[in-house]
Amino acid sequence: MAFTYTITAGDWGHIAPQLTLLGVALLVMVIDTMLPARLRGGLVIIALLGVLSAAASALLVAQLGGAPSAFFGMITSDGLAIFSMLVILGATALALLIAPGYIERQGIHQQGEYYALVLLAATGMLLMSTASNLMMIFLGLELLSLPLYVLCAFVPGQQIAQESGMKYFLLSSFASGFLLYGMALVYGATGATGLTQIHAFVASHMPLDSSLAPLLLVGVVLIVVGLAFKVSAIPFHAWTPDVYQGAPTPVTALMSVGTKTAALVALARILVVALGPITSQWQPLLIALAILTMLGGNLLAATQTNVKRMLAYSSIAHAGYLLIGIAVGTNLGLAAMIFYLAAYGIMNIGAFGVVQVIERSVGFGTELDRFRGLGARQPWLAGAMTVFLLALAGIPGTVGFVAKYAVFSAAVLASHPELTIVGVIASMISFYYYLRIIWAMYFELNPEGDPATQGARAALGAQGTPPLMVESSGQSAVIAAKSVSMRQPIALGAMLSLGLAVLATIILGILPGPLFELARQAVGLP
Amino acid sequence: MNLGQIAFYVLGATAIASGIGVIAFRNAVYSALSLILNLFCLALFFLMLNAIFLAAIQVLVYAGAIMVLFLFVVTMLTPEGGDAATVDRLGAMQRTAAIGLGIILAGAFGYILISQVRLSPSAMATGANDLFTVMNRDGNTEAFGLALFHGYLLPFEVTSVILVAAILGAVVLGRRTTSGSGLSAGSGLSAGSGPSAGSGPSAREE
Repeated sequence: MAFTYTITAGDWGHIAPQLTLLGVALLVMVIDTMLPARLRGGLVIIALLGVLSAAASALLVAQLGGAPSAFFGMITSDGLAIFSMLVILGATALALLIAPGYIERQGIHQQGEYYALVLLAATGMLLMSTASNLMMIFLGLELLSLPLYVLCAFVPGQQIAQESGMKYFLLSSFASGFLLYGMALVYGATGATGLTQIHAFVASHMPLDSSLAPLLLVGVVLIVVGLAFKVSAIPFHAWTPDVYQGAPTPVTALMSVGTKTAALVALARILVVALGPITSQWQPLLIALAILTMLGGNLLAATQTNVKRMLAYSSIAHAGYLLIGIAVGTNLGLAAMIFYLAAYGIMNIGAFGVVQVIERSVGFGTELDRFRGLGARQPWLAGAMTVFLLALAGIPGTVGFVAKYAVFSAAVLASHPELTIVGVIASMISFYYYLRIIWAMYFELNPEGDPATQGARAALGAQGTPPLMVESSGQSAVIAAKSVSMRQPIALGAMLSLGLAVLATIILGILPGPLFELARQAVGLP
Repeated sequence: MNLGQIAFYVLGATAIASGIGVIAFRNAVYSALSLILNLFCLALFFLMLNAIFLAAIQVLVYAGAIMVLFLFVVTMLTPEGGDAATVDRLGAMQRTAAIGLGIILAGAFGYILISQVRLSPSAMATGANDLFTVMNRDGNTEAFGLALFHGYLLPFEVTSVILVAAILGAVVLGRRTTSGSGLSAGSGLSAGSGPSAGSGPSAREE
């Protein structure tokens, strides 16, 4: 078959979303060289249109139906693929919207390259989440990782950005090595790289005999390690805070949602779909990962004082909740997981969207102090942040609550109540640090003379107000001057992105039914 | 233990040792040479797996072309090596060589196009299509090409996209170093100086 498989137009039709996105990435790259510098800001519009048309073609592929796989079983366009593609494209669109203002403030000149790399990374995420062959999963992972290494180090002349890019590159290459080794062992055990063939082989060789079991199980463990690194599950999380902090915040937002979605969907395909017959073998590993990640992520997040870092640890914690969906090993778990991914994408990109408004130079100026009194200075911004934080904490009425409820109930229905219990405890820990930001925004002012406000004063100095004048004026004048000068401008795109995210967080929190129904259909549940 | 196993263990040990050599040597030329040895071992592995074409390509492309480039760059970048005159002479030689090789390459492509080399009709033949049947019927290279452009077309194409992404990334990181120094030397009004000025106080904060 491999030698006579004939590629038809239908095969290319199957990957229309990926092709669209790739085409737009190349288009952006080429147009960038022809535009004069002052017009390059318009590239974001082309990129956004590309993402929207990719989403439209994904819907079209879903409408047309047809054969579930294409290119000799390399890629699939089943419900799970369509749903995760839409989550990734939505996240990319939101992350692109908050980018222009940030790029301008950080003095990034290479706008064309920035958007092209973001689109290439998104193409890799789409390929990885639709891959139905170990080879394609690996190639998708590489295509999403390579642009992200560069994007992490994108802000020029900043040590923290270089550290971020370098750390991500080295550790991620190491993890890719594990993943590839695992895939080679699984191929050695089953003689196939296609997930369908692996499933057929494993199902026909149950129970595993001693000649097959070691090779296959070691391979599975290595694959889990490699992908757990990408979703930053504990104990493979150590890179996350440093990389997230030094990367440009729109990239952090995309990375935290897009990479997680792609890697988790690939992991779900390998474990739940292909290796479903040996669920009892890999389940303890996943349960341990989920429990460690939920507890550890939240405990570590509670000790942070830099909000960007804290959100990095919070994204680790959410990886734990997401892993429950795979660990229970049922289709309902998968439905809950992809619903959680959609919800997480909206609220987490929203939260990072607020952080990038507050952030000064990359990785700095996002300390908790900078959020003090934000409720008085910029009530709308503080309100949006409150909505996102409450949603991340899982307060009823927001989409975060529905997502957690879905995951926890899937765990109970699959008779794994221990996951639910740990999840609830972990969520209670998370209330502490999410609510602490809200408390700082509304109920704390910047008290003069507090050593913690030196950062704010340094900001005043940097923004041109002579420090001497501040020292000599009266207390109220100081606060007034400070509140004026510390009001951060919000770019139009960021405003749009934050507005959309707030609306989605609340509307989906009150009316989650239709989206959850879609998630159920995506994994083939009635 | 048969001959194949002995060969495997010897090759494996050499491959690992040379792999360690790549990162352990302090001299960049030694590292590059160990990498050649490592890639050569891989080629021999392919040969042991009956993938003759792959082995040849591995030697030609990696151990040959890419490593020559590596060594060339290493020699160019070594600070004590070569004065400007050598570089100039090298440049002239390089131009001559490039023109000569370019003509040969164009001739080769032209020959292929004119002589209309096509796949043998047996490529699309029906019947048993497992690896060894195809290899025995069509030959090693044909089997490789058929698999690459039929069943495995998508991974092949995605690999080329990954290369595009890698090149773009390398250009971004490489070009910035030169443009960054140009900016600091040039007008102080450039936007690039904005964030670095802003990072001053925040760096003290940490």
